[in-house]
This record gives sequence, C-alpha cells and structure tokens, in this order.
Amino acid sequence: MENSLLDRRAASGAAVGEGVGEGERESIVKARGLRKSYGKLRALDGVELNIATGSISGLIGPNGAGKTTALKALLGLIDVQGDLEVAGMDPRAARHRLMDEVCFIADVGILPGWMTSRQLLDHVEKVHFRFDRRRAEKLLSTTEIPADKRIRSLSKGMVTQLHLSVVMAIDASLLVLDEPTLGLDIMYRKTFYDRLLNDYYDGRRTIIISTHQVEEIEHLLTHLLFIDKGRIVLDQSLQAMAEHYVEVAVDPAQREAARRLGPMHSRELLGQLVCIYSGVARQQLEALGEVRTPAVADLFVARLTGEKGRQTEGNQNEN
Amino acid sequence: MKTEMTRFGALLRKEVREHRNLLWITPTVVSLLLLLIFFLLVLGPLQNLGHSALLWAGSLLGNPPLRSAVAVPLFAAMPFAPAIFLTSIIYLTVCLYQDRKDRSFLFWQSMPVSDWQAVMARVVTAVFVIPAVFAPFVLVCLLCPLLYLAPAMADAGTGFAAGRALLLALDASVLFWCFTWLNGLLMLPVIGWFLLFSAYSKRVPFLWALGSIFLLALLEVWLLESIWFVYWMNWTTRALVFGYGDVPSTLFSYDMLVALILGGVLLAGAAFMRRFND
Repeated sequence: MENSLLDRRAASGAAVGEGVGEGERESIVKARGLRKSYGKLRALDGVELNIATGSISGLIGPNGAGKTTALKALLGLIDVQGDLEVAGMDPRAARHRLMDEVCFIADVGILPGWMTSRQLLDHVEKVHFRFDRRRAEKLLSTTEIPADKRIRSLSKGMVTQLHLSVVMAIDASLLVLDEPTLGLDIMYRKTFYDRLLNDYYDGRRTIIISTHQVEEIEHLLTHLLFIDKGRIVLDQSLQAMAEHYVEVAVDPAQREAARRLGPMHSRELLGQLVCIYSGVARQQLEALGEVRTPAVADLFVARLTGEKGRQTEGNQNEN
Repeated sequence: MKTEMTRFGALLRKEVREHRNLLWITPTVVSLLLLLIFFLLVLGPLQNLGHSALLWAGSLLGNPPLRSAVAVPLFAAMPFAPAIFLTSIIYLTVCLYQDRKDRSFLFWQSMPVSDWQAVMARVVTAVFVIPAVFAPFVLVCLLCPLLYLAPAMADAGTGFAAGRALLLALDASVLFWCFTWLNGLLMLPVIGWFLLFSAYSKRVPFLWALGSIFLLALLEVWLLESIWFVYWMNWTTRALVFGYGDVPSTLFSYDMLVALILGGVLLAGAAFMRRFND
C-alpha cells in the first residue's frame, strides 16, 4: 500500500528524488497579486500561487492569516483583485463550470441536515454529471452510515465520511480541503487521510489541504505553502525544503559554535539547544550535533517568528 | 442521459423536500378549515344560513350555460389564493437564508449549479410548484360541496348531476391555476424583493424585507410627495386576491412587462448576493 502511494507520488513528479520538477509541470492554480480587504483588514495582500498538477499542497498559517479567504478565492466564492486561474478558468467568472473540475470540503457539518444520505446521493447524481453513484455506494458500504437516517442525526465523524465518499466519487482534478477534520477524534482523522490517499489520490489529481493539525498531514504533502497576514511567506516543495532547512540538536559543547552560525530559530528542548538553519550546508552542521530535517510545524514557527523578528528589527531601524 | 433539465428538476425536487412541512401543512390546514365551514353550513348549527346560500349557489349552477357557473366554485377557491401567497412569501424569505444559517450553502456552492439557476429554482418553486402542491387540495374542496349539491339539483330538474359537478370543479381548478400562475408572474418584483433579502439579511429577513417596503413608501411620500409605490403595492396585492381577469390581456400587458423587468433586476441582485454574501 505504502509503495503504491509512493509510486503515485513519484508519478506526479512531486516525490523526493528524481522526476519532473514542479516548476516544469503544468500548474492547475495560478494566482498573481491576489488582494482582498474586509474594511481596513487586508485578508489577502498580494498572494502569489503556482500549484502544480498532481501535487498535494498544505496551506498552513495561524488563525486569521488568510487561509480560508485564499481558498474561497480559488473556488470563486468571494470576489478578489488580481489575476487568477484555476483549472484553466477564472473562478470569478465561471464558478459553476469550475465545480465540474473542483471539489471541496469546507469543514465538517456543511451537509444539509434535513437530507438522508440516500437523498444526498440522489441529488448529487442528478446535479453533478461526473458523479459515479456506484462508486459512492461502494465507498459507503465500508462505513456504518445508514442510508435512510437524516444527516443531522449522524455523528460528526459519519458526516465527514459521507462527505468524503461523495467527493471521492466525483471525477474532479482538484480537491480543496479547508480544515476537513476539525473537531473529529483521532480515529476519524486517521481514517479520513488514509482513505484520501489510498482510494482517491492517483498522482494525477491535485489536493490542497488547509489545516492546523500539521503533524497529521506532513507525511502526505509534496508541497508547502505558509501564509501569514495575507502573504505567502514560504512556497516550496518538500524536497526543496529538506535540502534548504536543517535542524540540529546541538551537543552541549557546541552551543556557542551553533549560535555563531546564525540559526533562523532556536529553542530549548529538555535542556538541549535545537536550532533550525536556512541555507547552511549539512556537512558543516554535522559537527554541531544530530542533524535532521525539521518538522513542518517547527519550520512554520521558525519562519513566522523569524518574519516577526525581521519586521521588528526593520521598524526599530526606521525609528 | 443527464441534461440541464435533469439538473433543474433535481433542484426543484430538493426545494420540495427541504420545505415539505411548509408546503404540505398550509394547504392541509386551509382545506380542513374550509371543509369544516362547509359542513357547519349544511349540517351544523348554521344550516339555515347554509341552506339559503346553497339554494342561491344552486340557482346559479343550474343556469345554462354551465360555463358561467364556474364563478361559484372559483369564489369558493378564493381563500386558497392568500394561503398560496403567504406560503410563497414565507418560503421565499427562508429559502436562501436557511442555507446560510445552517452553512449548507457551502455544500450547494460546491455543486456545478450557477447562482442564477439556484435563484430561478426558487422562483419556479414559488410561482409554479407551490400552487401545484395546493392543486389537489383545491380540487377536493371544490368537489365536496358540488357533489353534495348535485343530487338536490338533479331532483329540482336543473340537469345538474355528479358528472357535471366533476367537470365544473376541474374547470374551476384549471382557471384558478391559470390566474394563480399569472399573478405569480405579475408579482415577480415581490418575489425578487423577498429573495434579495433572503440572500442578504444576516437575521430576520422577513422583517428586513417588510420594513424596507414601509421605509421606501415613507421616503417616497416624504421626498417626492407622491404615493406611486403605495398605489403599486396595493394594486399588486389586489391582483393577487381578486385578479380573475382576462388571461391573455393580462399576460401581454404593460403591467406584466414592468413586472418582468423589475423582477428580473431584483432576481439578479438576489443571485449576486447569494454568491458573495456568507
């Protein structure tokens, strides 16, 4: 199972190792200078995106960073300024046509509670011409979701499973997930991502996931997008990230040497200094202690605190 | 083979399923009330009054040609007109608002259905589907008194029998539906207005829609010193309750043209709001 997944990710050209570089592959999402304001608040402040076909991208940012606004813009649910193309279409002009190519799960609990799951399948079958009802029924047969019970009486986990089954039965080229497992217990969260990878992702489809639970998805991702204050602060493949950023658990005797090399972020962990370096050769760092690729969550904190540090410094210099 | 009609049909079916309580309970209550009044008139404590009314109705029904007698069952069906109007207004007020309130609009937006199609499905439901749901109830309420009358009329030598009663009820029903649908089109601005507020309001869309009508009327009186808006609203609601006029002349009138243009503008506003207002 794991091998076949790796094969599919490799086929997409996004896996670690050789393959077609992301920059060379066709982009399913192209955005230039996206701007959106709510009153004085700038939700998107010149967002640039280039998401390659077949990638699994994680859009990660703190609360209020502009993740949901960015995803809504891609789906044509809000009006934004700037150039935007998703699956060859402008979502602002052709949202409904775009929905033939794009599926999304906004978060848990958006399915209409008054419907039964059978009625939901009836409706989607007639409305979405690329929906394969037999596939949806097959996927649902592996769950315990009753066909004739109203959705409002199902548990949160069941509703998410139902929504995922519907989405997985649609032959779309882009799937957008905005906090899809919010409020679910760990069993449902794990099942959700396992099914997504094993039964849906085929290396041809593109998935964009926005979530706070970074640890749960980082093993799936082929591409990282960090967003903060409406700006993309990091846009990199995981392969490039692994080459560019290095984390070192510093030996006590090497603490001063580690600091002199100018880490982008450092923290104390159980009495040991842990530093993250950007653009420093691994061989040079190996002398300082145990070298590894930083976790996405740690890199995220490092990048954001680094940004804030630079902004504070800049403000002080201006004053 | 799936077509745009399949898709639109599914949207209408969804509306009927979602608002089934409103769509079935109102005609049931109105029908039961009308039948209760009828039986009180012919069997209960008001039978003297009922007897006189039936004699009068019977004299009209017995007069040839039968076609002119259709006015009697049409008159009996009249309480259904405001009931249909009220049901439609409540439906229009909640339909788009409810989607936003329970957040299901994000799911509906994930389907390849344009905002214009979604709004038009609501319009067709209000103008055609809701009256169609009322249809069997109206027919029953017309048929019961006519069938009750038929033997007495036949005995009186009027030639009015059960078969003719059925024809008369069907005839009156068809005319009633023509007028109801026609009035629905004439009321397109009202439909657009309520849909606009259903798509726009953060809360209590009904009060917003109604309050704005009063505000507009007051502003017109205050700023323009005219009462055109009040006159137009009065004419529209009169057309709803008493508008059993000539179908072709109403269909191709300037009033209809104005209603379609103004209604179209308001519906476009509702489609815009549905898309961008969450």
